[in-house]
Amino acid sequence: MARHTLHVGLEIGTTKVAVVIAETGSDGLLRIIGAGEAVSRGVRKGEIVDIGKVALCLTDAVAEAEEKADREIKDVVLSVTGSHIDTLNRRGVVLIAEDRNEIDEEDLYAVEQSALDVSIPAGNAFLHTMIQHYYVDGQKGVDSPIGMIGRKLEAEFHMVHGQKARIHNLTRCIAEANLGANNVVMSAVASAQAVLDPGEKAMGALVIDIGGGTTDYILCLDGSVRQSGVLAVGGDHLTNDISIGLRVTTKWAEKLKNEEADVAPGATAARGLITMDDPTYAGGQVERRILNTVTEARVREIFTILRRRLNFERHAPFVGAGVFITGGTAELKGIAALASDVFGVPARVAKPRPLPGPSALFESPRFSTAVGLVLYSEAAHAALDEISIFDRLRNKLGRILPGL
Amino acid sequence: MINYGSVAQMSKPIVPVSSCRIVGVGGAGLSFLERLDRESGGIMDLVAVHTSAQALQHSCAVVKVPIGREATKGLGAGGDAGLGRAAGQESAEQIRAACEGAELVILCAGLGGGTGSGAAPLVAQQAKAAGAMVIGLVTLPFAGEGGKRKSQAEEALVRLARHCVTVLCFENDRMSELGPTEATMRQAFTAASATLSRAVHSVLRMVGLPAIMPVGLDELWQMFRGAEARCHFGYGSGTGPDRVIEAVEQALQDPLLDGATILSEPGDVLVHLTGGADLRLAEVQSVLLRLSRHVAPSSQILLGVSEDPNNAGMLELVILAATKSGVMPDVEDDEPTLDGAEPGVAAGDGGSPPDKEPTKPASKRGSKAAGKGEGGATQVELPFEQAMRGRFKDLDPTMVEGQDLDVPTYIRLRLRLK
Repeated sequence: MARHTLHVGLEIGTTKVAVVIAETGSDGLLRIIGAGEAVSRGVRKGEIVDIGKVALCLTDAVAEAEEKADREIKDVVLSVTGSHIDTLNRRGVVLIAEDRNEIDEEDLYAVEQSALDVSIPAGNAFLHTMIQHYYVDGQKGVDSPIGMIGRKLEAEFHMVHGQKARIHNLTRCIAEANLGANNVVMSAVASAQAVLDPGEKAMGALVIDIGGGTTDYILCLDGSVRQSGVLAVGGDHLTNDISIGLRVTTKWAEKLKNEEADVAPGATAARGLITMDDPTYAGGQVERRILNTVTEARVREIFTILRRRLNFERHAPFVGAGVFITGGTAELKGIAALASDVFGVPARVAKPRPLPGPSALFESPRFSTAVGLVLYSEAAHAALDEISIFDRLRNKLGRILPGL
Repeated sequence: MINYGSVAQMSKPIVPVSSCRIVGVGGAGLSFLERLDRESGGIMDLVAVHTSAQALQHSCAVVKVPIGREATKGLGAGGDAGLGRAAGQESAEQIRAACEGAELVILCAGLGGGTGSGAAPLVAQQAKAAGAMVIGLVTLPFAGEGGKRKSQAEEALVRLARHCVTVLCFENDRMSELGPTEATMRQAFTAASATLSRAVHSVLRMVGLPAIMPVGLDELWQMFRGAEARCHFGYGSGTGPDRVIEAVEQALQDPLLDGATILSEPGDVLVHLTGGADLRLAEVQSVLLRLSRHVAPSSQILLGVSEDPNNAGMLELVILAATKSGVMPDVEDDEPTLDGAEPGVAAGDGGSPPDKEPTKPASKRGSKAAGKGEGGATQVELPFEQAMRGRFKDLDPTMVEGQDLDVPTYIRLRLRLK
């Protein structure tokens, strides 16, 4: 049964490909036993533009993780991102038949189907259907309606859909690297799984995963997903802005971004010069103030767009746990202070929650999505074990993972 | 998103009324005429052609041509294209008489049903024989309506294409892209017919308005000769400082443009702009530059610019694209037998083309994709904007809230660095 206890998360990002291998031991605990990383090529703004190149990077990252874990992997859980991802909230309704009024599994399935009865663009497919609330005879706050008595079951769902063609590109890459895909998960859902504990989900939290090419966000309120989405702007844009604004090479822009830039409010008034230790820029210096101004403008813009999209002011009182910034760009100096300034609630940089295993492997905001995929995979697996074959056939992951 | 109300805001078309006729065939065609009539305030020359006497009675059209009195007894074709065709043949003379004297006929029909599928090709044939240039504007049935309607529609499309300069198709399945996912049936149909009616208005304005750089019927005709019968259409409008970006984005998202992938194939692209007296040269250049990212380098871009005094502060953009993938046989004979085997005609191409990765052709074109304006509009490449996009210059722009987010924020906010 070794295959059933191995969970592999694979994130094909714009800047890196990350693999995390975890294993459920005989004690039932999930341990991370290996992780691999490779520079990503052939991905732009979170979407695959060159399958062959991506497959090569993939093979490198997988080989590294396999070596560390000393396991061979076959199936992975994939994350998906990109501007083609769209979401909506929808309510489904089902009337319980006269001759029985106890709500059963079938009704939960039916209410979900009724919510899915919505027209999305041709060529799109649903990725997730996540339950927010059930209502039995109009009464809210029902966590699990099975066995309850009622005549009308209603449910609100958060639904995520994306272009089949783009998702197919992902699975093609996997196949090129001789791997199989068990499941495809929206990046933001995975990241939230990694950085939030159930308590924080219940208190309300906004997770913002800023990667190289995209910013994935998810708003959890009251233990369930309220909003999520993708903005196709990320760390690459920061590098590009710096490169144009300061007239330096991309390589130097990257270095300045990682080592010097500070986006905390007030840092735009910083004084002083940064000397670039590079013969091609003999005596080259850049002004700290300009670097911070260019960088801050971009990150503030990203946050401001999200605030508007989420209509955050309305939700702010219910976001008790605050804003969690994660992903590769979360390592930018001052980003939490800026987030807290824009959103008006406490914000912090978050890395994956601690798990048993050699934590140095994955303890960085960069690994949130990949670690989250492993957790998602484990939760899905555990839930599948508990429920009937009937449900397993339907693979209704959205439903059996209440809360996420 | 697409602005449904925009036709109402569009100023009244200055139509050469005498020379252009809008012909609606069948139930869908007639109801589309109703909409056009309402919007244009009754100045258009509308002709209704139908098998059902009852439907004709209620039509707003000035000229009503009942067809197939013998074949259908005036009761409609009941979804049978064969009956519709028989009706059309029976009344060919009357149809021709109704089209006599028109220079341009825009034929509107819903394909898939009886009268639309059966009679529309015959109406096109008669209109052409009467000396008019015919543009078809048709809807294709929902996929869920079943195989029979689909095959009837496809067959009709092939027949229709033989007599039309070009055919603009709207697939009903695309309706869901027009509005919010929660749109009601009525909203969806209204949005769809608004899209089609925009197409009609735009074509009329294109040939009818006083122009700075005119597009004549002859140029339209030239453009579509030898092109694939199906043509793609995009309309966008914008106001305010970002009107160029708004208009281009909206036009590229037009459902009739079929995802804009068509532009990346070699062919002819007609770009027509209507602005007020305040239309600037830089804006025209900006539109061309933005579109050039989507258009194949070997394509010819025909540019037309019109001025409408009512359009002050507003920019309207129309894109018409025809690919040169095949040769349209110039069929002149009467009702030709239909057994497929028609080279170049996109038979059976009911579905949209496979979703191509739009970034690929873009990256091939690179920076030399400057527009090839014709008729005097020499397009000067603006290296400035390309530089502003930096490493993203070959990618599709990330448009959010009317801004291209690939351009550095500090530039868009006009922050002073020095």
